[in-house]
Amino acid sequence: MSFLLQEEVKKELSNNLDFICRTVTTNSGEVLLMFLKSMVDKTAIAREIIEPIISYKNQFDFIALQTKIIRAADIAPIKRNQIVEYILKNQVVVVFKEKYLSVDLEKFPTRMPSEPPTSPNIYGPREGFVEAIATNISLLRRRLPTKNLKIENLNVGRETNTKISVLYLKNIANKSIVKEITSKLKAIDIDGVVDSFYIANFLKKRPYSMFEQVGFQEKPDIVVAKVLEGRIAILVDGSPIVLTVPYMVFEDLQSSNDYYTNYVFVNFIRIIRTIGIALATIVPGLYLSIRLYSYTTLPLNYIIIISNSTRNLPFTPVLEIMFILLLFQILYEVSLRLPQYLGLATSIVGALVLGDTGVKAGLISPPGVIIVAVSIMAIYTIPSQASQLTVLRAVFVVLGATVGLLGIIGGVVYIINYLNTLNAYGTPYLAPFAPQIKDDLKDGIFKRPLYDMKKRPVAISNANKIRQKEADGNE
Amino acid sequence: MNNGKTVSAHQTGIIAGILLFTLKLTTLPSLLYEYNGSGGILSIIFVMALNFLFLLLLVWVKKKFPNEDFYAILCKRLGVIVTKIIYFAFFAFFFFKILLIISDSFTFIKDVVDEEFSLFNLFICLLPIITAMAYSGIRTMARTCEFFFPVIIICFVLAIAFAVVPEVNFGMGALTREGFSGFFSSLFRLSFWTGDLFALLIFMDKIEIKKGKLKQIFIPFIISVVVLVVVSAMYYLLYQETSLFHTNLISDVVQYAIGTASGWHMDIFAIVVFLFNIYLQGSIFMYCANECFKKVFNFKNTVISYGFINLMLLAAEFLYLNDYLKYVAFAENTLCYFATAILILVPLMLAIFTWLKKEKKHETG
Repeated sequence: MSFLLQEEVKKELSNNLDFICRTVTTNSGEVLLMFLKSMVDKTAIAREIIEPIISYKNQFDFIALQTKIIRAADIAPIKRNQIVEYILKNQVVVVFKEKYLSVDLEKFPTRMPSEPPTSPNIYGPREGFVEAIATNISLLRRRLPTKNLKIENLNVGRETNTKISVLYLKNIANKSIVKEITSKLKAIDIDGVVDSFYIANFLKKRPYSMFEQVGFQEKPDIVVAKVLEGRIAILVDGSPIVLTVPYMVFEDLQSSNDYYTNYVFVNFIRIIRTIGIALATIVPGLYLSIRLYSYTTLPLNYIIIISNSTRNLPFTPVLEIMFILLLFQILYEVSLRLPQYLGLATSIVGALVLGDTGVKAGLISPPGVIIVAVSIMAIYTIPSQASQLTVLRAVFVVLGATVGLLGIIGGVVYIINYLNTLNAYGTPYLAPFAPQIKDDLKDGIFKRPLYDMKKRPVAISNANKIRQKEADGNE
Repeated sequence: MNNGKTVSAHQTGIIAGILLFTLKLTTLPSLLYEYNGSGGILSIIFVMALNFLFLLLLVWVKKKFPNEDFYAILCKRLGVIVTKIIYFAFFAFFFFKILLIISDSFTFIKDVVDEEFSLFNLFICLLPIITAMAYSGIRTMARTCEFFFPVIIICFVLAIAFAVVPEVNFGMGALTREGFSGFFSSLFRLSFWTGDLFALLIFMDKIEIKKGKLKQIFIPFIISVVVLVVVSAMYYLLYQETSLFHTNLISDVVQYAIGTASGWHMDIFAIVVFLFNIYLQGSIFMYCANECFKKVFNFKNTVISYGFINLMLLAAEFLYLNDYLKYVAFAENTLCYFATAILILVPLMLAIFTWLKKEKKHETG
């Protein structure tokens, strides 16, 4: 019987080499263990299952095996038709007298939580998510030891059967949004989910829009703060990025550092970031439009400086800016993909070629280099928006070069108007600025101290608006 | 009807404020000077006061007809045919306003930004954007206006700040030189440059004024009025007798002051203010023109109606009205009768309807 079962399961698992069947013979009969050796802790199997069975001298039945003998903590009876499913879920399946148990002794190589490279902190927690969903849930639960924390699990992907957890606070999150998200996730019929970005595509209300409609977070402290505001977190096994919805574009203007630093300094930094967005997107286009069409709008001194340094260039202004942008972008891509020591060498070559040799050779002008360099650097004041800002910058270069200032302003107005049409999960994309929400502006470009933020964001639909009760004794 | 896509009191105030700008930031003060000398500022103040009264009227109407749209109010009292005629008049009013904005923008850009700017460039940039914005709906446009309003006001303040120099001779006596005949004739002849707030009537059913939020309508509006009056007053005080020849108020005010020094001029803020306004105001008028067009001709397909309006604008601009001076003359001599009639009749009619509704309620109560 057990041989037949083994063969049947082996066949279903395509005779994979990492599938193991181990039979333990006892006084009460044969106990069969089936598991994938690459996905379980073999030492734990020996310690928690095999050793207790062998050392048990008396007769035993299935109930005794489940309740007295096997030492593992997470154990549950299953049906015969679930055997393969549970083996693939990295469980050890124990077969005894035509009854079946699943024992959780999952173990596979994982990374330890460490500070994510894209969200470094000066103060505050340094932990980041890892690829294992169980570790990520534990990182969140440690910060939210409340009975209101609800985690709904589901599996998506016909081949990958990826574990997905929807996490929220049931007393704060809006139930209808939770329902909408879970039903969207359940409706996904795809062969595989490799990363959370796959899921993000299905949660977007406008799938063809280049603007993000879902938040991407790498740190548990940020996700907890968002869940406390009424957002819903979506964890995907195999991805160190946790998704949060609803999402507003100004979330990216905020950094976790902002909440662990003096609020006056934070106000200053947020103004810098806002200027950064403008510099990153508009400045090369604006420079072109002024140089080509509206040079009279600049003070005379500046016109003289620019015209002196661009006099003998072989390129037209448009070609010059496009050439420098292209070089910068190539260098950026190269530095991302090369090993770190080679990346450094490329940066030096790039800086020399662009900053010095190019200018001395008379191929490009110093103002052109400064404009593009400022724009490229400014993008990284908000790294999470880098891809969108890069595309927008190219659009504004074309607008500035073709229609001038009218095109630049038209582009700005159109993009803001377009962003105002994005309204995912009942949250206006540009809130709290459009529509203007007075209470939410306390954490807008200007941030008030935490003491002043008594309510949860109005822009995010949630079940409980009050965040902080009035405290006595404050000035 | 109100389908949840509402415009808040604050947004309504901002739209009202933005509707005041554009045309009044360029040629209007210069044209007023022709009739009324530097006393043109009094005309501007008077027009602002009328706009304020109109906003008060709108609030009163909203109280009496909280969720009814303007079309339904007119239909019930005047019948469908008269209402359609009125809406056609409104369509023509907004249509010509868009044309005026296009012509005005073209002249401004040629004078201030780029001498070689072509009308083709204006069309490929301005028309698609204002149409797309109008197509996105009034709530989205209201939010866009709300987003840019602080930017516009900051740029205004910066533009004015760059214009302020101590040695300017403020000749206050020039204000009343022309007497009151010029004042009234300027109001009549240049009536087409006003009445922008009628746009609010077209989407009045979508305006939502919550209890205690009434002041939110008036604050942004008053800010706009103050800014506009200050810039206009500066213009008359700076240029005095030569005001007639300076047709780009916002830019000329800045250039006067800074241009006197070492060739250092910084009118980029003035340009930005104007360019933001043409897009925002143009889109609001486009939306209103389309709404009127759809009502008059029972059009259901919004894309086709916008396409039709765009074609008409292109035809009008290229065939006849591409000359700004010709267009100004047309507005001063022909459109002024039409605009004055609308400006007087519509508020009067609205006030009577609202007042009657109130009386009726008293009688039945």
